[in-house]
Amino acid sequence: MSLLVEDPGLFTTVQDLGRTGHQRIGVPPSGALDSLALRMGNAVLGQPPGIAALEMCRAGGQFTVATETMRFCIAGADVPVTLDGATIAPWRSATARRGQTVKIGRIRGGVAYLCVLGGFDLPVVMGSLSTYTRAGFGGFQGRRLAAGDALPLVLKAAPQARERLLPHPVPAERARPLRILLGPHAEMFTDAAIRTLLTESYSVTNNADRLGMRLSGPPLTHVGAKEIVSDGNATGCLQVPGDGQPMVLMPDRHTMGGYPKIATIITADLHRLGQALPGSVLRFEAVAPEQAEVAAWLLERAIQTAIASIREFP
Amino acid sequence: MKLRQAGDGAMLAEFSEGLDPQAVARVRALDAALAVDPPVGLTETVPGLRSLLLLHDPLLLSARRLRTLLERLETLPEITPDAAEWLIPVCYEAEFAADLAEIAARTGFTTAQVVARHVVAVYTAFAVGSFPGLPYLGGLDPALEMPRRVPPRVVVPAGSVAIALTMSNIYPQATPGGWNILGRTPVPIFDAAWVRPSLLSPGDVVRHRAVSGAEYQALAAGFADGSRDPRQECRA
Repeated sequence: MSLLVEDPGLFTTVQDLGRTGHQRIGVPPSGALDSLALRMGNAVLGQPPGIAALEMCRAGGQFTVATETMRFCIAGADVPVTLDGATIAPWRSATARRGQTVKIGRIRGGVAYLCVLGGFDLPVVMGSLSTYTRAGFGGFQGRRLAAGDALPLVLKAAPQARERLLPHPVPAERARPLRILLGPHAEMFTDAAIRTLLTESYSVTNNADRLGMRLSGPPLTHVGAKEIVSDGNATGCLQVPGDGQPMVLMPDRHTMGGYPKIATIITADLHRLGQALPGSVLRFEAVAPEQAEVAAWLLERAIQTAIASIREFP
Repeated sequence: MKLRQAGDGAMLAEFSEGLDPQAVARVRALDAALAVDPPVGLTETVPGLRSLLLLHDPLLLSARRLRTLLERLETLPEITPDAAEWLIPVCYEAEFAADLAEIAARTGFTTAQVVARHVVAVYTAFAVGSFPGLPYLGGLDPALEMPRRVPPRVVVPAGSVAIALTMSNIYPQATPGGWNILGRTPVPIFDAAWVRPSLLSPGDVVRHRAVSGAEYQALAAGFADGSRDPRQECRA
């Protein structure tokens, strides 16, 4: 009753919607970089949004089914997928039999998810199955997957049912700048720095992982001090060290930090950030708190609309 | 209290710009007040060194409403939550104290005097964070205040007890770090498998006792084979 890892890809971990309530003891939220994709993948399978899946960064992998049958759905960035050589479309469920191999190719974006009906039978750590590799807990043995791993599955066989598909994933405004709220420490930067952030573009460097993404672009100048007495971090904040090059903090971030944070990406755009890659060009647009809240509501409406559109086939 | 918007799902309630034990007390009081009757949509609170980070779901709790609520709470009488007290053994012998000689040279004390000043102090966990289980302990003897090391070490061994600025800490696992190391504890202070994975919580009181290398090894062996449990052993 397991899924065998033949080829783990580049950086594949078990992730759900993350851990809540433990940042007060230094435990970051972790969880899916593109939580929207994870939710939709699980919705296609007709299961709760937070069932843990395999998060594959930049490259997929190869997995062999070692149970009677396993129903799965690939979600997230565009990626070629085959089941024993036959092409499988994303955003649709498919059922694999014992011995069949799911092969996931190069991801045309940041991350893709292999969602499995019933999920993985792994220990819950602080309320979550998310892997936090830096401290070595959660997910599968607290680490990224390696060839030879056997991931225990909850279901021995997928119940007889028609397959399901999402006709059209929630559309992403790829050309739109990422929306930010200025702060918490915007006043520690020059007016010119704020203007620069809102008008120039920043590219994602190779120094990008689940902890954070260092960006490269015109430097953002501090007014005075370049450090603060540490305070709490929020996912999606742009911290700016002394060299003026911002770093976006991602779900495996430190819970507190000593660099001023010029701005924070809004909740509704965090899933887009999760799909950014080294070389991706990011632009930022400032919005007011109320606009961010409206965006969160609109995204939630879009998700519910998409879930309602899921249908059986053939 | 200054409220800083940290995105549409986070707000910082800040009580000082610098390190200030009074601000830490106010952070704790606000945290405790919120825990009595947490508003719907407040997902978690994170006590820091000078501010409380409030994480919330913007679909359930708007920044505007959270702001109003916090401003109302500010006028409430302060609550002093209960704190656990711990006695953590530390071995200050040379093999565990990479920076002790340098600390002594910098402060003008002998190494024995540095240890005496460090071990006698009563510390309070101002915050636990940055990394899982890492305590920021206020209460360091002012004569031992010093900056972090530049550049930081690539690896600081697990259990290292180190000082920087006005604080002392304990490294829960081997990580990079820039604090000045003066000893090591055999006590595991974080275990993801525990119901409460961090031995120390914000606000807890910590004292140290000096142990010999031999006692360090004996304690370390006991914690490793499970015959000793730090959650009972180190309760003061």
